[in-house]
Amino acid sequence: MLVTGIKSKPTYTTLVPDLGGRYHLFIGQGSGGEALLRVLEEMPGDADLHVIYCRESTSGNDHGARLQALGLADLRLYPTIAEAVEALDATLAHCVMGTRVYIVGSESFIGSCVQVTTNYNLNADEVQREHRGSAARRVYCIHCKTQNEDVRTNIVDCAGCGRHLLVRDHYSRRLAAFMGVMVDAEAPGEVPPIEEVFS
Amino acid sequence: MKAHAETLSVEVTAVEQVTPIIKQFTLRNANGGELPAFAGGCHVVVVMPAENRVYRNPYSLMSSPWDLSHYQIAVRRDDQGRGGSLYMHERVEVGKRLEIAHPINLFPLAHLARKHILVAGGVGITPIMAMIDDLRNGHVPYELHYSVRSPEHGHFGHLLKKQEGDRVHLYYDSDGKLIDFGAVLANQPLGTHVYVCGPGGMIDGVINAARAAGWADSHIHFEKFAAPPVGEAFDVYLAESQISVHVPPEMSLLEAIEAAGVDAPYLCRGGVCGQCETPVLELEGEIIHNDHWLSDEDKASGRKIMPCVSRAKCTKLVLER
Repeated sequence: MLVTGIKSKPTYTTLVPDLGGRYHLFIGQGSGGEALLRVLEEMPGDADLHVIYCRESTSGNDHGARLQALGLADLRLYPTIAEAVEALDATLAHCVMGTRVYIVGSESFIGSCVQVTTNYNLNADEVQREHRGSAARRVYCIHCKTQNEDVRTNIVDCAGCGRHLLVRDHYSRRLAAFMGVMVDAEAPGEVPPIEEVFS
Repeated sequence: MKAHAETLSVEVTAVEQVTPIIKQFTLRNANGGELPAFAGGCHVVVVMPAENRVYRNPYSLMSSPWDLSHYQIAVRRDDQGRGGSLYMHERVEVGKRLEIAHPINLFPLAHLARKHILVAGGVGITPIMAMIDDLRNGHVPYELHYSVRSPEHGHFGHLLKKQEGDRVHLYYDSDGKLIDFGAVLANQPLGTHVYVCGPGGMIDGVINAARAAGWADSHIHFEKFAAPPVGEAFDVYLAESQISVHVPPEMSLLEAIEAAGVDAPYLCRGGVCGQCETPVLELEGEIIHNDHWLSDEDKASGRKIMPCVSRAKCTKLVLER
């Protein structure tokens, strides 16, 4: 039902130090803090490190205090995803070629960060992405354009128009969201079983 | 895709000696009308039928992609080369008809870039000139760093300086002025792309300076056509065609295969595009790899060869062709 094998579905890796870069900007959210602690540990002592961490998390995991304990020269903590993403944008505005960006967190968080890095024409060989925490999706209703956050089920009622949306693997990097398509358009009321598939 | 069979007939409408060693040729569609569209960075392969052989050399299109009434190419005379550039210099005059392959782009602009830095040396300016025509009307900043031996070799630089002003930086070896690649590439905004076309040392210099400044490879672009080197003669057996072919010192393997009447694929004829990659079935001896396409592992394996530029020193060579 989900239609798998769609090429736009993002794939993620594990963050590793990319010592080809000269300026390393890490941005993590929630459970991603654990991955930040791991990769920061692997970075050489003389590397130019900058860290943005967002404490907002659906799972309640906050690694802010552990990151502060590292005594980094540039660590900035933000209470919300919106503020962390804004800080990423403001930082990149002053960065020069030679920068590497490391993103870790929920899929929606990664998507919002990649929207920003793409605006600066940062490519896949400059931006690493690791998925941690919730696999919940941001779902864009193709009918009323509403973005539905934190969707965990294969079918979701759109918060904007109430349609029953099938959550597809078709992902828009521009919108940083998966496409949701009305599931019972041809047979109104015939909705397949709803299951939690993105937890 | 049939990678090369269709050619365009063009007629030479102007030949100009623009520097002591470079001639510029203007070509129009021999059948009338516009030529096929292209973009900055494209090249065409010019077919040159000499007495005993056919030369097919790639040349970048340097005229504006916005004007398809003609193409322009520039050819640097190489007296030590295999003869293609001498053919163009000595035997191609106004009114001559030539066959050329359709334009191919192995050196395209990155259209999502936030800034473009163009670096060229000598006749390597040709693809860059068409790129500048593509960039001029856009809103993305660009700059050119162009190096030649001396002002008398600076025809294209003078033209570009007049047209582009402060965006163009000219360097003359005769003044002892070299491009400081590290300084040019330092502190560039995110999303900057660099493009380099020129001698091998210049290309390596730009790549090394960019990497040293932390640039990721996706922002570094270069065109490094290798002319097929002259080498020792050798023999090859083409298994599918069931013929033996002799490759003389001044002919490339690809040219020898073509001269034997076998239709082999190619696009760039300079060891960069990968189109002519051919499996090696048997080898007694070694392959002399001159391409920039095969990986080091492939080269070491002796199982693949790029006939456009590579040769062999062998007692037996069998190719799947």
